[in-house]
Amino acid sequence: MPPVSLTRRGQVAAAAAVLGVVLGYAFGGRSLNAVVVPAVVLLAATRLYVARLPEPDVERVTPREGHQGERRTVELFVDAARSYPVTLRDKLGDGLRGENVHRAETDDRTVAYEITLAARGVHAVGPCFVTATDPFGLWTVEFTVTDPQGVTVFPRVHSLEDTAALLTGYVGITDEREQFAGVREYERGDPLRDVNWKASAKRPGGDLAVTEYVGEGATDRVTIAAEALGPRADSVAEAVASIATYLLDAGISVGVVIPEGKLDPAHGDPHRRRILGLLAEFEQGKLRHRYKEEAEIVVHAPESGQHVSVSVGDEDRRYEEFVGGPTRSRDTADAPGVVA
Amino acid sequence: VSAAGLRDRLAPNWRSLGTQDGLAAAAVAVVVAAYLTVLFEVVSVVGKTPSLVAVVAGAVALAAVLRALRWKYAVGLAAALLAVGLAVYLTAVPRAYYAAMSPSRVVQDTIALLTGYSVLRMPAAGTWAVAVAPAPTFLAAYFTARREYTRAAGIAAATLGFFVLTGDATMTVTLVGVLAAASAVAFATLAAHHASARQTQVVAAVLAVMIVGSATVTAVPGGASPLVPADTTSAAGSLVSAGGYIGVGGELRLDPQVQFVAESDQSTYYRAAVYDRFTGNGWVQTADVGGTETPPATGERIRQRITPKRTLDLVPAAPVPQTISGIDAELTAGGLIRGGPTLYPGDSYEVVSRAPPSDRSTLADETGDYPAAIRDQYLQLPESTSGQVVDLAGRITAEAESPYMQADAIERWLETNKRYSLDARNARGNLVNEFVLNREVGYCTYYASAMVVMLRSQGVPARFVVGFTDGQRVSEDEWVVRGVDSHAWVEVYVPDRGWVTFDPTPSSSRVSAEQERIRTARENGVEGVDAAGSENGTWTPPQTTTTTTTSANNTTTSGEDDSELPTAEEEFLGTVDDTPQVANITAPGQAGEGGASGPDRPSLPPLSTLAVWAVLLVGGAATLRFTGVADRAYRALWLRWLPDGDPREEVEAAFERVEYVLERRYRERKPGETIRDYVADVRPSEHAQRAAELRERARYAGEASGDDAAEAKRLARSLAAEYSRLPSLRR
Repeated sequence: MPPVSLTRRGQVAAAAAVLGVVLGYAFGGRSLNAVVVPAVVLLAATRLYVARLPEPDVERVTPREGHQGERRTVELFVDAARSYPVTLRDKLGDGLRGENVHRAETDDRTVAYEITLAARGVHAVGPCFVTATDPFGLWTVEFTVTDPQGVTVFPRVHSLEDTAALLTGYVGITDEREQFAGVREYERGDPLRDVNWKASAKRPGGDLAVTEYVGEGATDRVTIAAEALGPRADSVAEAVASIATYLLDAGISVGVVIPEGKLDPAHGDPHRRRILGLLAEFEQGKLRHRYKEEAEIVVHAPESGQHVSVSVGDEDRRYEEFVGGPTRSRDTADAPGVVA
Repeated sequence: VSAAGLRDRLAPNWRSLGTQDGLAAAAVAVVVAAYLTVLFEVVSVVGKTPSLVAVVAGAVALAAVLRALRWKYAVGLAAALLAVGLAVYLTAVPRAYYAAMSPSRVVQDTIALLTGYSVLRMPAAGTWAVAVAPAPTFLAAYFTARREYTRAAGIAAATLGFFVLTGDATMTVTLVGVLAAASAVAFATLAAHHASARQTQVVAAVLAVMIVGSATVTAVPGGASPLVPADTTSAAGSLVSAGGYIGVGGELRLDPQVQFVAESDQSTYYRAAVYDRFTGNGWVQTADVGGTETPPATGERIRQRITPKRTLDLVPAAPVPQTISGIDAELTAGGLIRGGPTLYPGDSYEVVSRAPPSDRSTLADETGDYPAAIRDQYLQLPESTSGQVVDLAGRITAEAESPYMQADAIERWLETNKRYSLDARNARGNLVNEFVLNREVGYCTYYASAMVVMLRSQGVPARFVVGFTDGQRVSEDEWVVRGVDSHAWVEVYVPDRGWVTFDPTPSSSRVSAEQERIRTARENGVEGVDAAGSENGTWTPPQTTTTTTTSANNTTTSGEDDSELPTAEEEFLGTVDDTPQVANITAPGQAGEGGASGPDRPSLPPLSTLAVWAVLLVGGAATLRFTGVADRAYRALWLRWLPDGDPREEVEAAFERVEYVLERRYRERKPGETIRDYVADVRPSEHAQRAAELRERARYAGEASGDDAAEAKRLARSLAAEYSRLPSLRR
């Protein structure tokens, strides 16, 4: 049985009783009996009420993930063998905001509350501290129930629709396959439809040749490297997330390399979530030079932290030049404007 | 934020403003009402009820308007209200009191209040009540409006606690306040938790236990049970006690034991305490009683040595003491002994007194003005004073031309129209109204209170005095004074002469009652009935010049009657010529309160007592409900009671009981499961199967004879009996 403690109002009641007895014996009874006895009875009866309270049973349903700035609902189911008033205090990780103190009764009810995903990262919801009390609120009993659960907060994703053309030239995102650029040797992974059979037949040794078109750039596989030397880690993460999302939407395999980890280029929703999950943990730090060299796109924030630049090939552009339109996160109310 | 989002955010607030909030707010209102009851009692005595109503309404309205204020400012505002109120109060208190004001004095007075100095004893108590009422009322209403019921209840309960400490809150009012404060806290908690009705049952049950506890357990001695209306019965063996308050009315059992022995030049009354404020059923001594200087006394000088035989809280002496020696006590400007020590057997002190002249010729023609201080203090009447009493007093004194003559007329009217008895019943309302208009019987406090009220209503300053009559004379200059000699009489202010003593109580009946008591005590062998040779009978002066009105049984004294003070009365009883006829004026009776307002008319107990009983009943019911006792009792009855009527209905009803027993014993019948299937599955006793069979036939074949019904009922009864014998807790 967890320890039972007297609340402030319980202390007031106890003090009134003691003071009543003292003043009553010192200066005459007056009506103090009608203060002292009810106060003592109240304290005793409520103490009895909280004695051997059955352990509360709390189950939590927490959202698994969401973008920074979004709001999600956490649900708590409370029940106990005997119903009594409780105060539920769900511990929220640093990056989560919300009213986490809720009063309820353990009569098989659901308490739902909203949390705002304030910062990127993996944050804990819980453990839940349950303070049981009597109906007068004079005594409390503390319980700790339900293990913490994690919420992954992805970076915000901005829409790059309007300025996407800027990227086209550098990474060759295009469906134009009319303009012939040349033929090169087949590499593993090249689609069969790109095999130039005529050219292959002409080649000695039976090696296959592949047609290259103008605008196709290096490949449809892109690796984005990112580092934030200064304080703009959030902006860098958002830039990487936005570019990656844009490219993935365009059907390109995207890989990401940041100081926290590396993901090889790939497609698909699970991969998209892996990228966002990796970016959730992105923090200020230096990336090894080799990774930056190998990547097609480098997102970079200098130590001074003035702006975020996106380097594609030899070109350096500011990220704010690409951003346009509303952000893609569902709840726009809390998202600050464009970050760059 | 979208409109829907806004609605979502507001909606919980609207929904949760439910019953429990309402109950919490109501409970806070009851706590506020509890302390306001005390304040209203104060103002009803000194006549400021409209002002108090106004400031309380104002405070509540202000709180409603300013509920959006930050709480720090609200508390500041309340403090300012209190400060302004107390400043206003200071302008209302007498000059002398104001001049003596200092921080240490304020602290002293506060400590005095907190250790049981009644608010009613303060000078300008009505102004004080009006001054202090708004601040806590505003704060309580403010916090209630903000749904901070716990804080509101705390403020109100603390204020009530103050009046508990001053001794002004009665047991029942205190209990009501405490219960209401507890329920305010509870309902606030439950409202915050959106708790279920089950928790409300717990609250009601705990409140009931609190009531039972406070009615049965005495943790702090003193005080009455909160379950019966407060009674102001004077339980003491003597009317004389320190404490600033004396209740009038109720049965009086005076102590036959000797209080003190006095050596005195002449027979006198011994004044012990003077009271100036009448509450309707008691007298209060305010702080500044006797503080006003009176004209120098010109009467005869009396020297007395008084030797207490028992513990005395007050210092009795003939009025008006001029010097006192032997004990440490001070004399006020008005000639009252103040601050005397508690006297123990063996102490002794000497007093020299000098009263105003007592002869009629000097006093009857005095018609000068009263000093303002005297008028302010000694014309107070409780608001409950009946207009009929005032009218009556006006008729009695219509032909009297001076204050002395007015007092004389009222004294004679009371003596002739009322009968003396110590067994007078108590009155719940204004005792003087009851006594003057309806009652025939009363004793000294009734007479004296009535006389003071009647005189004051005619603009004559008067006050209530408690002390001892002259007692039993045991030698030429020695008197033995007992508890039975304690008495109440009246002092009337005669302009330019001072306070003149009047005794409206018929002395002959009083004396015989006293002597009866002493004789019984002697027969029963009570200790301490005699001292200084009083058992040997009363010393009689060789040549007595007094008219003895005591008819029989003169074992002790004839000198009881020829005290110095009622000489005026005796002088005039024979001379009818120059005194107006007042004896025939009859009291009208309290027609205003419903013709049948006899003295024994049954009346409802006060609201606070009813409230306590109501909470007790509700709490008891909640306890039954919470523990399931009520449900079980109902089931037990239901199981045994089988309806009579149509045989088919009887069979069905009987089977309902059988099914109930089966369900408790085996398992619940599943929804959709037929009774036939159910019975087949649980395989009950043959009796139960037979009952099911009968029911099936009654229901589906429509066949049920009287015999079938009787059989079904018999089966049901036997099963119920069998079931209730089972040692099972699952019921």
